[in-house]
Amino acid sequence: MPARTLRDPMHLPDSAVVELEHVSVSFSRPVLRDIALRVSPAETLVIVGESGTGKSTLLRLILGLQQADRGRVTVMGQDLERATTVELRRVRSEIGMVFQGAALFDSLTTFENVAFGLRERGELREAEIRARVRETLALVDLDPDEVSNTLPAQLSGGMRKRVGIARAVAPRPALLLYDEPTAGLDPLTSGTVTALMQRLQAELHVTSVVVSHDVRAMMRIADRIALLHDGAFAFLGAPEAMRSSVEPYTQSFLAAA
Amino acid sequence: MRRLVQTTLLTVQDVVLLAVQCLRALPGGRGAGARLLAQLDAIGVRSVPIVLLTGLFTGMVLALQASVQLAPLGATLFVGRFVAASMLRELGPVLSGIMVAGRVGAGIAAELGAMKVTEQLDALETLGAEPVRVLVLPRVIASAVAVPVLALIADAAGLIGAALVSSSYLGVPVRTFWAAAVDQITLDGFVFGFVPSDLVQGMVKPLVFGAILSLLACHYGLRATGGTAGVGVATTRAVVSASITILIADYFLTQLLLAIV
Repeated sequence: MPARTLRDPMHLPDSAVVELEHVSVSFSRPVLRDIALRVSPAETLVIVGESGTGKSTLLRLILGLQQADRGRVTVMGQDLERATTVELRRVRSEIGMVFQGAALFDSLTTFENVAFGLRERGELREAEIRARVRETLALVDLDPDEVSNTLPAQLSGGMRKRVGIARAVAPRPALLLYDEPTAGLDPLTSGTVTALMQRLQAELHVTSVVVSHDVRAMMRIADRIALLHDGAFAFLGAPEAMRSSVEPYTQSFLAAA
Repeated sequence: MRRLVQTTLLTVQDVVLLAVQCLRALPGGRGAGARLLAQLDAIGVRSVPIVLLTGLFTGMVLALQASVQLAPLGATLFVGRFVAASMLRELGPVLSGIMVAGRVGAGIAAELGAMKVTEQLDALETLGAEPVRVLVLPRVIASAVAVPVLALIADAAGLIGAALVSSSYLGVPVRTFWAAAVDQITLDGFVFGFVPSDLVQGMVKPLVFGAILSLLACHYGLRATGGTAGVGVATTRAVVSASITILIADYFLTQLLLAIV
């Protein structure tokens, strides 16, 4: 049997990068109820919904940071519940995560933040890491000479977000997860970040799962949109189909957006 | 009361598990040496002034108090013995542990707590670095190594302070003070033929205190919830629990060491 590579999810038998089957999660109350979802290679899926509907929990499930109470979460062919620590680490090495508040390491410079994942992997030599970091910073429209030695506290909100994206993208992951990428940004910076996501999608052909409350902006980059309501998907389909949906909650959500 | 016992037992269980995870994470992987050196600097080197001052004034006070007790007996010459025994066996290790718990334990809990509430710990995991290996292990090792050295520094500072007070206020010649102190230190014999047993006690205890205070600080930091207020709560709990645990551990360690050394 030929070795299956995580780097190339197209080679997986069922071609699903992420698959959720009958997934339920409860904290003090049910958050996700019997969720089913498949994300195909190079697809951009945007998950929208009101606050507290379990959008970020979905991302944590995909990252293996949270376990489902019931159901199965498969990422790149790996059932995360059955994964050993080594297998989980291997799956995570193929995932880039952009956190809501960027989650940059305060004590490290911009350069060290972006280089962190590359150094942990140990696949590249230091000179290659330096080149990759500069290339990736340029990819997110940051001047490497200007920002490399700055600490996160010295950057603006938009720049921090872009460094967060650069850190996630630097190892060239097969799957990119965004948690509220435009939250807390002014409309102009929000538009810049959305355009950047669109450009990364076009240039890197990476599979993306985006959690956002900003449905209008995300419609520009989404192949499909999932609307979470009361622990389940009220809508799952193409942005055009969402606009023309007659489902009452979807209509009211779009009207309020 | 029942809830307090339950919480305490759960904390003990979590801290023991954290210690086991640290052992499993040895030797610490890529960059472990640099991380350890950074922590030795933060925990050890930067704690020297506070430990030095604590030791110095504790020794000076001990000399004064000892003179009050010994003077009616005409035994002020034994101040050196009294201070040496007190500093090496108890005050050096315990005070160093508590001072480091206050300075470093608070810092560790606040730093890890802030990382937790700003999702930096999740970011570490997604980038392939386990928080225990990258954050906890170097802090625990550095603390276990640094606190015994800091205790020795406190001992030395205490003896110097006591010698100064003895010679200035009590009329005990410096040479006599040191001769009495050395007599006391070597009184109970040697371990391995050359290490005074008092010194063994004075080194084993702070090693354990160092590990305890850093494990507790990391435990509370890693479990911080509820934003900046949660970080404050974690920091307070780390310092209070580490200080109390050091005092409790000191009693049991003393019993154990008196039995075997």
